Amino acid sequence: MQNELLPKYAKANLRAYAIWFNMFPGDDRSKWPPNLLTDARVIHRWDEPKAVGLWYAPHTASIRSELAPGSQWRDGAILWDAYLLYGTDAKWSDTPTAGLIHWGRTIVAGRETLKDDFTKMFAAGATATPRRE
Amino acid sequence: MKNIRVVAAALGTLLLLGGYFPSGTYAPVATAEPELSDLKGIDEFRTLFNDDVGKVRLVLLLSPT
Repeated sequence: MQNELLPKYAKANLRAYAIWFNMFPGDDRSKWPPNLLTDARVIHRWDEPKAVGLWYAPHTASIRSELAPGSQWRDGAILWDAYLLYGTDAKWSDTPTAGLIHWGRTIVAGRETLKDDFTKMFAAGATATPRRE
Repeated sequence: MKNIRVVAAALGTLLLLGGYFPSGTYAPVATAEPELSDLKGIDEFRTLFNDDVGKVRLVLLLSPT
């Protein structure tokens, strides 16, 4: 799918951070699939101690209102299989709330909201950051 | 994540949508040989994130299988 679609990608003003870490017994860094996200805008990092998921998890209560419809999150200790979409002016401070547009878990469960947000931001003539409804 | 390929397909579609040109054509986008380096803690991620102010940013938390 990636090889089929990547030639059609344009340069939307986007950066993606793919943070990988073990969650299942069979997971391992050696299982990282290098051919799945080859877009040059994607930065890959291996997070052995799950630092990012551990950081986000306790903050999810404060961003519950941005949770994409269809998503499920039950206040686990590590946020994973999730996305968080931020606007252009977002700046990371002590909390993940500033500039957060939506987040979803699982990624598949939240994909329609993510797709809608992308359309609003990157469609022709789009200038505004989508807001929660 | 046992459905990693489903996730990748969904993300690929979304990135495709992000790059759709109003003329109905698609602009070429750069691809790269992905590199996986170790995250040096939450501070490195914070720096990466803040260095990209001005861009829409998508954080993906993934497991390899």
